[in-house]
Amino acid sequence: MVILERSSRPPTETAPGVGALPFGETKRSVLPSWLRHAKDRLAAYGLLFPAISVFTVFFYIPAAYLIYISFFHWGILSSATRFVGLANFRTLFHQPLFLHSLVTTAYYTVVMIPATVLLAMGIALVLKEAVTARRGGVWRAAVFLPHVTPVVATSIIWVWIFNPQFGLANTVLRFLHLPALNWLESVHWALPAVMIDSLWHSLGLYVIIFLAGLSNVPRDLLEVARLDGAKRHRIFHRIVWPLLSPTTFFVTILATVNSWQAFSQIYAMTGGPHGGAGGPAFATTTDALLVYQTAFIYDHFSLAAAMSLVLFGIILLLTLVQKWISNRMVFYR
Amino acid sequence: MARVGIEKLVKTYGEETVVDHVTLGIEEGEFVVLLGPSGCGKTTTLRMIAGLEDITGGTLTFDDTVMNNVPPDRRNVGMVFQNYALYPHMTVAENLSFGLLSQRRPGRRRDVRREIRNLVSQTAELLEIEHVLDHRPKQLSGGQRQRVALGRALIRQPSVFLMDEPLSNLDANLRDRVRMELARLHDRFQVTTVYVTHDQGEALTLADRVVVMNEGKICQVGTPAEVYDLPADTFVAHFIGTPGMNLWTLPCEHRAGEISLGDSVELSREFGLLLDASGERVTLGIRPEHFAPVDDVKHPGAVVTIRLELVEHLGSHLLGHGHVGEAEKQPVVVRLDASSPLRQGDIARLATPARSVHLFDAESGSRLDFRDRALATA
Repeated sequence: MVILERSSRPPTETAPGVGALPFGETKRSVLPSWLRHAKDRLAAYGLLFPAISVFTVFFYIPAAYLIYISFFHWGILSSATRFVGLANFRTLFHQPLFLHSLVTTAYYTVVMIPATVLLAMGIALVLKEAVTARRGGVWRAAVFLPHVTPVVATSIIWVWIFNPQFGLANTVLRFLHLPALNWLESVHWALPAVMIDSLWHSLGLYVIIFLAGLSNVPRDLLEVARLDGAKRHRIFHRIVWPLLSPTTFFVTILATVNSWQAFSQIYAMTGGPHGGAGGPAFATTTDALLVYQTAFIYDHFSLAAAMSLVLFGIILLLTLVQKWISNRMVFYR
Repeated sequence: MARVGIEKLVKTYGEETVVDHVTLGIEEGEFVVLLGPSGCGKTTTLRMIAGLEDITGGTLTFDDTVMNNVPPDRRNVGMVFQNYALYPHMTVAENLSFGLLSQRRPGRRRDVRREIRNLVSQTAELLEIEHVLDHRPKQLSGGQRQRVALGRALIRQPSVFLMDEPLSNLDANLRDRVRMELARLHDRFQVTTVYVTHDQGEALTLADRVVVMNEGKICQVGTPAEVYDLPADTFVAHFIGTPGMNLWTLPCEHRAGEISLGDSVELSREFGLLLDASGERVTLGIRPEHFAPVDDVKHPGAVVTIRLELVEHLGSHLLGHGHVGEAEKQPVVVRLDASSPLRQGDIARLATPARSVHLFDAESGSRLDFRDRALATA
């Protein structure tokens, strides 16, 4: 080894400042821990306060009051308020119109859930597959747009569409050489007409939710499946569908709740503003509509409160059943 | 097993060319590694071979059959992805059998299922994952997931095996083990393999041939020894090796038969054949591990004077950082014996044997070779 010049620095010397503090040591707070925690809690409650107060005033207190009045005979216009126990609930289950409304709502829900899930998923798949990235935003906006329009306003347009004489719906049916229908004036077709409006209005939201779910399906998995020789339907059935199950479950719950609470479109399409909602011949009288009519038309708030509680129980039960099913069928990554 | 032919392969995304006229022939049963930094086009090339990317230009053949427009499922390739891409909702057994069940196989349904079950258990046994066949990927360790991914590609007996950085998600110890297993599996099955990595350690240990890529082009194709010992250009020279080769661009001067580069490098006379014009700038390359004390090298090709600014003791060896040339101050890294007396601040003369001295054209960066120079002057 030829060393031309020897360093004067000792070999163990380190750069100034390096190693002055043990690695990772941080400056400790001077506040005692209980005070620091109290400060954190105070900040947390402070941030939660606006939301909690809004929920309390507009949700928890009315909900509690609703439970309370369901055990009383109570109305805005009636002066006498008296405790009646479970009488309101007994009255309900002896009232044919209430039972009829339950059946109508169940029919509405049973049709709406599969239609919503299948159509929303189908549209999402088409949008995902066929639409280029540049135009994707426009298509997504187009699909979502009905959902942000006021339901009452669009329902009035649908009333015109379903007009038996000059409506678009019958024009299309005639073009297809199918018999024209009375739609909103028919006992059989009034509810399907409302369903079409509801689907049109709500589908955009569910399509967006499915699109979000689809974007979470890793591209690698689809590519592996293609390399594995799986055809498109098998890839959908064995890969995409199981990975979309949490989204499907969420959409199903949302669609169930919305179906059992359907009100605005039925009210607007079946003559609500003129006082005759729910017709013809109660064909479109769903639970929510009956609750409204009982409370605000017939001034029987306590009976309406009892109906609402029953409705709540049904939705809760359905959600629990769906949850039970989901534990067996939904795959969470 | 198939021969893979790649002829002037091009891939563009809009204006951007990602793979630029790549030509490569891969023999049956060969293990070829595409090596290069991120964004060099190696993964895109692999995906074009798999059929997952459309080919913009050029030709891809398997055994002389043009595959450009053949869909991925008809290419009979098995692919292992960087993140394993295991189906998370399926058990290991289902992951392994999915591909087999997706293909139409002749025979009665019951017999086919039995055959598939046998294949799954044989593959699981081979990869030592038979005890986790009913587990889901989430319940497996990184190494087990890696084996399932390998098994899923192997079980279909592909004619070409494609691997996209398959070891990059494993920790260092496991990576070494799985790398050895990969080599063992390749020895056993001799499937034509194209392996993509940016890790030169993997490339040099696994490959029959290494393809070094940069900016969508192939820089060099050769055995691991060739790309290490005879790098085709300065990119390969610096990319291969840890740390990379020292490269200094210095003015060359002939003085009384002696050749010097800058004020700190002396070259032996034999390099005069390559460096005929006095004053010409040339890029000299020496690997950090090819420096030795002057007295230890019998016939030095280059003698370099180095000022050491930092010496790191790495247990088995020393790594010295400093610079060459008082005027040019070009950075240098040297790797020396742990027993070397050199320390921070020393100025030392170190030598390199002639075969370890590399010269490159200062402008183009390509290797100056005695054979090329002889042909040019003939």
